[in-house]
Amino acid sequence: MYELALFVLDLAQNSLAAGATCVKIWLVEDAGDKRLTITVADNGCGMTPETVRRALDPFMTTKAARRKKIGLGLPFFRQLVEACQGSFRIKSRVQCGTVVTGSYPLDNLDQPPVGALAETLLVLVCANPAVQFHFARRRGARCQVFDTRPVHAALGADAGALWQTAEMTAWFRKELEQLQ
Amino acid sequence: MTLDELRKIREKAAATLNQRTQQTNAPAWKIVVSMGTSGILYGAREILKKLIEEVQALGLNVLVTQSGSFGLDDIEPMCAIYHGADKVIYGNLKPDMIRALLETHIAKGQILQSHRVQVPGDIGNTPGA
Repeated sequence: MYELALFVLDLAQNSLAAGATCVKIWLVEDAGDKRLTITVADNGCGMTPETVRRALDPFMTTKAARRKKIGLGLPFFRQLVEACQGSFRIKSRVQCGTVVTGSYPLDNLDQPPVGALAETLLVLVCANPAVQFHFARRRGARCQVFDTRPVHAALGADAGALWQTAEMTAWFRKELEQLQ
Repeated sequence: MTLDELRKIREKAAATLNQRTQQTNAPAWKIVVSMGTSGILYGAREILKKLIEEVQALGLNVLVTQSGSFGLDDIEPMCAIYHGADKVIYGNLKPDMIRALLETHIAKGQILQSHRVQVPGDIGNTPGA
């Protein structure tokens, strides 16, 4: 994967598959300690320590186990973070949720470009009307936040019907541009 | 974020919405894009984006969403189109053929045979899978 944004999409899909109704994606670029930290957190079904171990092991991936299929996304992400001399962390609790964090030095030559982050967040929001998303991107002192909860509140009972209309997509695109 | 803008969008749509809720609320069609790691690598994000755009451009009442991998990595990107109990899987999708796919399958009710994939029954069945 050549963009950080695509790893984010992969991790977010894990959250959705876990039945998350709330997915948080935070990207922090700290000029102070010169690190980039990406966090994807959810309130999905979570994993036991054994499942986490299997999820991180690429050789235990299997398509035959269709129900709780574990893919290559997590091993790829961990590999990327470690190749960038960074640290990878995953915390999960059953019936609670999962948090995946990757953090690496900003000046590392192996780091992928952030990529089309706004577009990635846009498809996530548009394609999942029933899920609450909270995005935050901090670059130094600047912080941009996007949260779908006020959107649901403002649209009320019409949220479902309006969510994938052209007007709402244009509005989401405008709001999410700030995070690019 | 100006919530005022949302209020205006909601008001503007009020007329057409009332019309629609008198029929049925949920869209009759659903398209699910396979969004596993391999799908993403092969451009599923662009497919999902194009589907949303073209559904809007063609004025179709379709819900577009995503799921985990369908499990057939070599013909990604893929999507499943649902209509009632019917399900048709398409593979090897490219952004520039999405409009033709929607016009053929949804507008005309015909299967786009060039990209249709015959698969074992349970592929693309649940949002989590």
